[in-house]
Amino acid sequence: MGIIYLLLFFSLIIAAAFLWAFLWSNSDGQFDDVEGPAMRMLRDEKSPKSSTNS
Amino acid sequence: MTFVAVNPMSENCHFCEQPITSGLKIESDNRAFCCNGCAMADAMLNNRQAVGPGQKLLQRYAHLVVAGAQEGLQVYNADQASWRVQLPDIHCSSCLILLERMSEWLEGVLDVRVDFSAKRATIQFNPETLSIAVLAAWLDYVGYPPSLISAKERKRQDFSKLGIAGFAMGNAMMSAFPEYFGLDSQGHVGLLTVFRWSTAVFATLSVVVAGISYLQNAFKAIRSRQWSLDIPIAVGMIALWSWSVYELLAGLSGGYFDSLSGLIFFLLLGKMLQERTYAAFSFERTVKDFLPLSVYCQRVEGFLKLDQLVPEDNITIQEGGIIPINVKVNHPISVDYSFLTGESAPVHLDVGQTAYQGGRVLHKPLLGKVLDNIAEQSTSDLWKEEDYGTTGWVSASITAWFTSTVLILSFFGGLVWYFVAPERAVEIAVSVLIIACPCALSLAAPFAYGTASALLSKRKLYLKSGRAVADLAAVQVAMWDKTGTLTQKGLDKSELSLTSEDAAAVLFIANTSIHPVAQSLVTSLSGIASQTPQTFIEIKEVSGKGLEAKGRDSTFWRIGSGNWIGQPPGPTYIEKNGEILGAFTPEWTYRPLQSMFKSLDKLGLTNVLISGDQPRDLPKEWNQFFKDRLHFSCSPKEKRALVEQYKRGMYLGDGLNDVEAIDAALVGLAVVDNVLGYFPKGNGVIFSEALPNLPEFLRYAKRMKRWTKGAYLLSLFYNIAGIGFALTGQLSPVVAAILMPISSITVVLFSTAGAYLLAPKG
Repeated sequence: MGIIYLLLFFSLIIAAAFLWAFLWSNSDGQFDDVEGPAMRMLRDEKSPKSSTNS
Repeated sequence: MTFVAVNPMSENCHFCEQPITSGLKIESDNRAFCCNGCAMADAMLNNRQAVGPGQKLLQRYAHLVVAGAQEGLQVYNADQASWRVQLPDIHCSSCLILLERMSEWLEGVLDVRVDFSAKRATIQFNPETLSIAVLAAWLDYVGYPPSLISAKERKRQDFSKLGIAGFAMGNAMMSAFPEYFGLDSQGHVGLLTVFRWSTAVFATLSVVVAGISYLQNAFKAIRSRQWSLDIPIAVGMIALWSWSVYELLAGLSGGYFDSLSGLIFFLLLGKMLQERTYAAFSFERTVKDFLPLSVYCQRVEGFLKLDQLVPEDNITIQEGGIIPINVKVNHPISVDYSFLTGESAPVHLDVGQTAYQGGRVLHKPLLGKVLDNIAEQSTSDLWKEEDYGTTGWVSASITAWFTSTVLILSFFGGLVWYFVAPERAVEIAVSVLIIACPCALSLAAPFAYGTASALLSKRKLYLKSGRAVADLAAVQVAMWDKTGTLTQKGLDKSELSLTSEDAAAVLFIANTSIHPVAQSLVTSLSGIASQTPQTFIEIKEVSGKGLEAKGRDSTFWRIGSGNWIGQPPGPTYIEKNGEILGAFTPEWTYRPLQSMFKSLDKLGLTNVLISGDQPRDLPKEWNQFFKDRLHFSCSPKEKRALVEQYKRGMYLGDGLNDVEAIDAALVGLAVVDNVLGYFPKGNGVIFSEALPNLPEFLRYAKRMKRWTKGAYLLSLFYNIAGIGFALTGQLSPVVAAILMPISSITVVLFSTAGAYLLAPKG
């Protein structure tokens, strides 16, 4: 059963890595607007001017 | 001989005069207060505390000196600025009193308005005598440290907390599983200990990082001796944690750490879900959509709704009109910001300076360029000025009563269970604490009435607040102004034969005035004038006489009464360079409202006519609706006095010369034919075309009142049922934490759905 300790340790490390990834992306502002970027990427960029206006 | 009723058991607070809850009394200077806030407010207002923020506090806010760098700060003038700031520590009515009377105890503060539910204050101050840093230090000193992080920042923090709570819950539950599945202490003592302790560590992490705000809020509430809804939750969390630690150390079991971490996660998730739901149903945020605001815009030569304006548009705002959007002015002008700042001295602006929204245009029409997009400005603040938000519906005393009842029930419930099944006592006490939530109680009314007012606005009755719907339901007397309300102005077009160039010019000039005659001219010329008018150097309204304009091509225009222009009195004349182009007489016709009055009669309303005109020409068939309750030749003041006589009265007027009366009535509505501008006083605006539906609206308001009572009952039922289940041991704390937000959300849905179902057709 000693292997359980090792498994526990590794699973914790993986979980902590994901938590860190979430916290980092959150503080980076990736969840500020979860809908806008999806629409924006579908739009053609005709000129740099029009994309800054809207 | 006179008796003064004195109850020796209850003592009233020296400041707010509310009875003091025993045990919460604070004595200071031989006066008794109900809370620290009141004691502080009293000391401040009576100058008995002449200290101020120390160096340390001033240092903390010293970086705020740069004007304009702070969110919510707007500088109107060298000596007028406003700061909209989040004060998270606002919690009771004495906070409101202390802050709103800030101008009395802090020099440089002009006016303070507190939005209680949003825990936000709008402070008007004079930056010359009071710097924003000192203001912030003072706010902190009296117990309301301003929150300087932005809304975005706060949202990110909430997300992080939720993430950590979710992580902690997942891992705590994972490491609690083996014990559930029968990992016994005989064979694997070491493994069991590791799992138990890891569960404990995760739950503790969750409490420290994510649940801490509940503990902090509860602590603040206790310190200021206020009942807050966070207290039961905090007590529950502490009880669960310490009991679990005891069981863990005593080696009895793994405790309730898994429940605790789940509880915190679901509390946070529920809170976020609630906020989302409220935002989705929010009637406040859509205020812009239903504001009937439009301004004359040169680009389209007509009225445009505010949200259709783009920066650099040239707009005209009539004299006396309220500026709906920030504009750069094209000519020197005076603006009165008293509506915003309470300071009545007008501000003089030079060419190119900014006139801020909310100011009133003085002396002549304002021509200017739109500065920013309306989407980036909040018009709702002006419109909502007299709204009380979500407070005022459930009083502080109900909260106190509710919270204390829940604490007592939970304690005795736990005690009884301790004798029946000791191992479940803590769990049950905690689930009682979590499930009971008066949130649902406090949400029913604001959502029902808020949605109702939003729906009414689609039917052309624009109410400023949800509260007005509740008031509308109570209306028993309808008071009517005659001219412009019961009657409308028509104009025979054949009387005017203008060239299209002249018509365009006249239209432009007339548009700068909100006078009914000018507006009738606008209505009748709108079809004819197709040209772009010439540019005008100056347009001036001569009060009581007419309009005067100087064109760039040195033409001189006058539109006005006969005596002023030098013609026989009666009609209104149009003069260009001393030559009469035409004269017209606006005709008053009665609006077809007979069937509406009949319906009002059926509803049991009393109709009263209050007019400023001479007692003449009221058609006979109209008299039956008023049954001699006719008041003629009333001055604005007399109108107000009459309105005050009728309690539970509704007043409908044109909003020009009866502002006072509109203000005095329980529900004051301005009747408008087309969209013109703000009506700062009163409860709302109704379009004349919607007048026939007024009885429907009243019936709707009454039905909404009944529906709201139903929503109250529903949330009461939820609480009683929830507490019942919890006390009988059928709810675990985690389930309680999941159910609590659901009950709040269903009450909101119920209220909102009612507003939609009952809404009048059309």
